[in-house]
Amino acid sequence: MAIKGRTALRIGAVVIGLAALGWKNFHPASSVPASDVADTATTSAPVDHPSTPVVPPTWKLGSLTLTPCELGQPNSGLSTAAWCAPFEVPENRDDPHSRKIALKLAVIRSSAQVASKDMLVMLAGGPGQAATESWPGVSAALQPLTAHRHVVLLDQRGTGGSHPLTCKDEGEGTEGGSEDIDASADRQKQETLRCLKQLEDHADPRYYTTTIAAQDLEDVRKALGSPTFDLVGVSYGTRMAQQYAMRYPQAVRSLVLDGVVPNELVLGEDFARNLDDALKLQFAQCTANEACRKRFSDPYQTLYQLRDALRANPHKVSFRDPQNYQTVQRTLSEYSLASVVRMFAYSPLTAALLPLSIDAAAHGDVGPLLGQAKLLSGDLSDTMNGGMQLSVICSEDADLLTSREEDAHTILGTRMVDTLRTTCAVWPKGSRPADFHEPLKTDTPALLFSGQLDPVTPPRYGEQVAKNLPNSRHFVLTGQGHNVINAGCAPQLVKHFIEDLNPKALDATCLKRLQVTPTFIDFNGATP
Amino acid sequence: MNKPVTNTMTRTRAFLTVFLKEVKENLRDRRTIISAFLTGPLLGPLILVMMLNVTLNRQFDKAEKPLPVPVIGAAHAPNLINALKASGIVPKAPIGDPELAVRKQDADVVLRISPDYADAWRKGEAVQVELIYDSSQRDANAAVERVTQVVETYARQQGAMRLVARGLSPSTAWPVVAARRDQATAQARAALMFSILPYFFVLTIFVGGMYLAIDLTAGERERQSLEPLFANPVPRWKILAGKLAAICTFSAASLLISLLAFSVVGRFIPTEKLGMELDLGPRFGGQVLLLMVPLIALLAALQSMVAAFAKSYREAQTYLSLLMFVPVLPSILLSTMPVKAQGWMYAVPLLGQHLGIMQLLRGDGLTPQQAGLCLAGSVAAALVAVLATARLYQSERLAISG
Repeated sequence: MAIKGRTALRIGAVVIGLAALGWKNFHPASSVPASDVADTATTSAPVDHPSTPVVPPTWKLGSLTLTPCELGQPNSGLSTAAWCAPFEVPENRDDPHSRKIALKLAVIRSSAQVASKDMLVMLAGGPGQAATESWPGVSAALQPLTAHRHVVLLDQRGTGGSHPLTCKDEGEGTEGGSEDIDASADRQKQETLRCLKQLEDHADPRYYTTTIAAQDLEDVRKALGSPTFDLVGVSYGTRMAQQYAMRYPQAVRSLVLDGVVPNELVLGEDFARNLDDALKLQFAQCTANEACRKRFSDPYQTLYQLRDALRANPHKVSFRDPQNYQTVQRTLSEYSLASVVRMFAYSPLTAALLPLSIDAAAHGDVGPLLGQAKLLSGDLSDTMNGGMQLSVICSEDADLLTSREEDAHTILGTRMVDTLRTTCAVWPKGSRPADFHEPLKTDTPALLFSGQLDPVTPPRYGEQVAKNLPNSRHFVLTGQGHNVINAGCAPQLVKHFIEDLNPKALDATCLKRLQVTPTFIDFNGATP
Repeated sequence: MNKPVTNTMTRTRAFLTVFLKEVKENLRDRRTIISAFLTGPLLGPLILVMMLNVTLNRQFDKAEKPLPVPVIGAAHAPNLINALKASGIVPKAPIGDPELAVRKQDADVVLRISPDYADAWRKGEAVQVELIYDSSQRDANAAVERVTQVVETYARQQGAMRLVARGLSPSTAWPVVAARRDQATAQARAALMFSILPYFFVLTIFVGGMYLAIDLTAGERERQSLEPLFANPVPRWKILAGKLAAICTFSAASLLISLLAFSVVGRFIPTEKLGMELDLGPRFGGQVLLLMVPLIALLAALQSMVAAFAKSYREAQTYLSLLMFVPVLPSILLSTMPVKAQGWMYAVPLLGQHLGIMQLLRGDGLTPQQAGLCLAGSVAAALVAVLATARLYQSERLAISG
């Protein structure tokens, strides 16, 4: 027994010793400096050198050297961590010695040690929105994919941080973008000329078209080491995706189109009709619900009554700014009503507020309607680049645009089309390839989403595009508006689609769970 | 099972002869073979894969599958119920005694909507919905999390919409957002889950050599065959060296099988579901093997030493199972309490191997300095252990049984 006891004692001593050793180590515990972990791919610096000066980590991807950066979001103090690299292209691609413009290129880095060879590319809407600024809007939907894939964000030339075609307003103190729509044709022309004058020193608006921007993207792809791209286009971004896939078919691994704009479409021609259709559907949901019908009877009719009243008597009203709560004055006219209603219809959440806001406004309380308008238009005018939008539409669509007689009675009327035609008469036009408006025909796997209540790109657009894509699926999401990739289980479908590239085999039963957003019947919401 | 002492044993070939004899003899022993080549090295990988597959798949199934939840008072809040349905929660018929039901695990969670809900909603007053659950039922926690999240998301969204309906900005109510910036690589996250892996390797070495160690000292003594062996005109250290070499061979074979098994089995771990990458391939295996070589000798010496104290086979077994807990310590301590690795820690045997393997798992790689420290520390410890065992072997008492 003596030996046994001694052995136990020795084992005990070893255990206690090791335990003490472990214990001692917990106290100086401190987290590993972030920079040490972040740059594992490039530097082989040992982990334990806190005293060395902080060198910004770099990341080599293809021929590019990226450094960490924060992508800001307009209208908020929020930002996203990413990796950025300077990227220059000639403004005029036919003349390599022309002015160079700097594009903003960011990569959301996958956390995988060895990422997939293909990369996601988010193509922003508008035209005029910047990919780096729109990213937060789709990041939740693409998050699961970033586990294995990098995301490429390139601000299309003329937007965001890529040589933006921005014109400053001169002191007029306009509230949001919707006031411009009130202006007479002459004033619009003058405004446009003034804007062109501001731009003439540093940009030639003819070179800011979809086709040229697609060439920029191809340059970026080559610089990244020629990965294949999974294009995720939103709204106008879907047109960009189709154009790019048409010119560089071998570069595209898959297409995800959310709010589909067919190549054949003349951008702008259906605006009035699509909005009217969406509003009718939207309001039909209210009249189908007993509580809502009792409260508002027929919101569609109320809207047109309000429109008529404002047409007869546009007047100055005052309301509280939703963000700084200061009292603001502005003119309420049929046009400002139309643009507000149009923006409301984009999302089912705001569309659910429309009957209530219209009703309040019809009874003289314009605070809610204009406050919401300020929220939406403030958002839009800050994220949308007007100059680039004109460059795209004037070069690619405006000459095919006609005012339609039958639109005149709708809430939007022919105003938007007229405005586009007026401004495009002055705006310099770039060239457009002959097959620009030809449909995209390809075997590339494609996933298409449309919102049932979309006021801009209705489901029939998606069907039209899907017709020419044999390896595609098109989903129409119940009760949803414009930009639906975040709705319900759509993110999971996108994930499975991009991972397996088998659209026909996608199980979309979970989409059936999507529901209509109940309409607000008073300021405390819909029925409980 | 008498062990004949061969006459051909000469002084020069003594080491080789002892070694070969032990290896050959133990290769005939089913128990040793099974523990060294089957259970020891394969148990770890199998347990790991099964555990991870079950827990991961369960988690993901739960997250994606419709979740049935009994709802009491559903009629008071049809739109809330619709929001639940949209998020994959399936409302079920109310049950009489929800408190008892969750304790008996008839339901993971029960939702109770107060009869005041509709009134309070219309008036714009706050109202609660109750989540009845039993947090001691671990299975229920994921369900509770999910329902809570759906209810709170709905509430936040409705709150934001109430502000917008009044023409106010939702950011008035939520002025600050915490933006998380996770710097972990996918592999580093995986490493967190696999922090028990280094222990499996140590355990494999241990189990691989255990029966030999017992048999070679305590076993022989029990059979009274140690005395004749020592009576041979061969230095005892040579006999010891032969025995240690045999133990090491078995341990090393065990480790090799284990590494192979991990590299095969690693592919069946659904880590990609968590956005992780786990590389248990040949490169990883080679590096682990290098780190482990001195440990093989160290553990062989320790085992023979401990077994030498035992009078019988069973006693040795008891001691060795106690000894088995020693290598667990660094693994358990480090996996429960995060410690920042210091340079000197690599020199501590077992701890150094643990840190080194973890670093390989994280994909950070091992610097030559760290690998050197780790090897030097363990080699020194192994030398000390071997010398101590050799000293023990000089003692006359060792040969005498009983």
